[in-house]
Amino acid sequence: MRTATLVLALLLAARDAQADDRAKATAAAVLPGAVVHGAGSWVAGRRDTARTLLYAELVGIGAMGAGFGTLYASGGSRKIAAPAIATAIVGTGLFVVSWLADIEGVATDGLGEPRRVLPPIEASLGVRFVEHPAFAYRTFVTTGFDLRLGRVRVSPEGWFGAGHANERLRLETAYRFAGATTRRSADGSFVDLTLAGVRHAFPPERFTMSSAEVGVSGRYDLARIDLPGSFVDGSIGVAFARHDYTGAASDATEQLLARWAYGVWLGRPSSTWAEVSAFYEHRHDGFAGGFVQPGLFSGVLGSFGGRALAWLTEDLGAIAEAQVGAAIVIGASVVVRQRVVR
Amino acid sequence: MRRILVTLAVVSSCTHVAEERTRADERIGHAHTAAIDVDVDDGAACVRSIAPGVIRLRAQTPAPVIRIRANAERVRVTIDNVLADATLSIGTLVEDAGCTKTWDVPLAAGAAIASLHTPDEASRAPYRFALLADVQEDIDRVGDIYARMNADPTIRFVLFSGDLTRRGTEAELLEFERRESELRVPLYATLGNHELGADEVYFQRLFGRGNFHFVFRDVAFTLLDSASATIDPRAFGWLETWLQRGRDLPHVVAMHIPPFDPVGTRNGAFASRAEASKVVAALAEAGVDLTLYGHIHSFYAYENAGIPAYISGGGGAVPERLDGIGRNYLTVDVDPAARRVLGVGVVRID
Repeated sequence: MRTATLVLALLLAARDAQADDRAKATAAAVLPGAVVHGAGSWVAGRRDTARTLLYAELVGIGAMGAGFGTLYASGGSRKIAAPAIATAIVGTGLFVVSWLADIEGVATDGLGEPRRVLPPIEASLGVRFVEHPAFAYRTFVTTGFDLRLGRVRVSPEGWFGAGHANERLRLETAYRFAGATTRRSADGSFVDLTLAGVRHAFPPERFTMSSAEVGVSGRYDLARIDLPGSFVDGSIGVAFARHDYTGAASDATEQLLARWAYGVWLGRPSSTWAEVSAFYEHRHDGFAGGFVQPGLFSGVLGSFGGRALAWLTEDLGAIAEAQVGAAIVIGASVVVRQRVVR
Repeated sequence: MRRILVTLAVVSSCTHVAEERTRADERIGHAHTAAIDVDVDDGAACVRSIAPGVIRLRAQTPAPVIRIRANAERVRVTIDNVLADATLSIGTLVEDAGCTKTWDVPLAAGAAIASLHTPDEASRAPYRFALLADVQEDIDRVGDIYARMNADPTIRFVLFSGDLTRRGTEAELLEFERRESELRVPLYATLGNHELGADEVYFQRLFGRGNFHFVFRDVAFTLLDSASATIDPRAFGWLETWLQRGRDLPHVVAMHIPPFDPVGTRNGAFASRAEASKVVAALAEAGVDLTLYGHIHSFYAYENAGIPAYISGGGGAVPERLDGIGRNYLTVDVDPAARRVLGVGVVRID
């Protein structure tokens, strides 16, 4: 009895010591980690991870400096603005996610695993509420599905106004060069080439926005740098848009597409499982638009948001989303899928 | 559902970033004290100071109508930023410093309605105005631009489409106004995003409304506050009224941040492309003849929804490089009789 008590006391002490170590590492990840990214991993003894996060921060700072510096020095020159903005967005993304990854990595040691195999079909039906000061519309019914045929994905999506005529249709196709498809992959990383077409009709306001988009998107499973259960997303591309007005000449324009996200997985894909992420979305033609604020800088930044996808059973899941830009968009969907053959 | 919508509406107040300014617009041109009341129709002039027997206004349009009530027989009215040949409908001119004039205005039964007029107000002959924007930190060199404008006797007034200053502080705006005295014509300005960098929006207190509309010699002018890369819904409502009023006239619309950047990947433009399309669709539907913008420190000529559009952000702020443009302003010739814009020219300073 005495021996058992001693073992239990030692186990509890070890757990307390572990908790203490984790708390110290998490505190270090927050500060000085806000300045020296990877500080938490360093304190936790993951020296290679810490170095990688620090390098990511330094590359991010360099890219931000190069991007914003070029924009300032060139006065936003039409000849180099697009690559300068893209560089600044990538740099900002690297800077932010390298810090978040350190904090989450040492605080939790990973809470889940990625999906390594994807179902051939996933379909969703949901509702979104949009509060845009410039538009009267509010509620949309949304629907869409992902159809996967080998490395190819086809994803039609529709937002249909409930009680109003606004309607947005999008068809995206993607070719997966690497990563999970209906066949199993090693981890959650992937690289896609995406092509999309969008048509967004505003009948009461008498105009329609259409665009064709091309881009590259990807995900990096941070288990590759010993931060299991978390990931970084990034995408970059361009959209060629046309705005048609009733009774007036059309406008042609283009748009830089860029997005980054940091996320975590919760649980195992074989049971209850979720993927939660926070993101920056640079596009200005979506329902959220770009970010506005009362001070000097409105218009150039895109929107910020969060998304959660949870699978509650083998067949049934849910999505919750929120996004803030010129408008606020929130909503949820029910998702169903064809069962995965594991 | 109702609870969700109410919550959404409350949270969304953070996206109504220009609402405070449009509410402030509504208060401009109205001042009330125990001794004297002033109301300027449509807020076409802001009340800079008011004291027993003395009123100082800054005109933001060529012909504001001023309503005065006071417990006095006369009031001394000074109006800044007037056309040099302007006269007041009542009263005696007691001081004339070009664009600043002072009148001794008699009150009948403690009240008077005074309006500014010019000798050519009924003329339908062509005339010229200029457009300038984005002086910002280059205030010390703006005199070069004013000298070039002064050398052109056909310029009747200047529209200024935002970014008078670097941060919009009171001191910066007063310095802008001091330099403005070098200009021989009035300058009707809306604000830009660089007027939003101080602890309050001093522009409206010192210069007047961000959103306003006037007609001069049968040409309609609408200036909008797009300083937050959006048009406040209340201002959009005003715009719809002004578009109706200007439907049968040549109509010029100016604002600081353009709905669309001609270089779309840069997006020095509205935050929401959907809102940008909504605005230009409304302008096109109402037959607007010309749109003028600032914000981008260069010169661009393009079209939005078929309406000729010009960006002239050449007031001296950090210039767009590699464009070979430099500081610039626009001259716009309008022909009220022919009901059209005759042409737009760019004047390069450097």
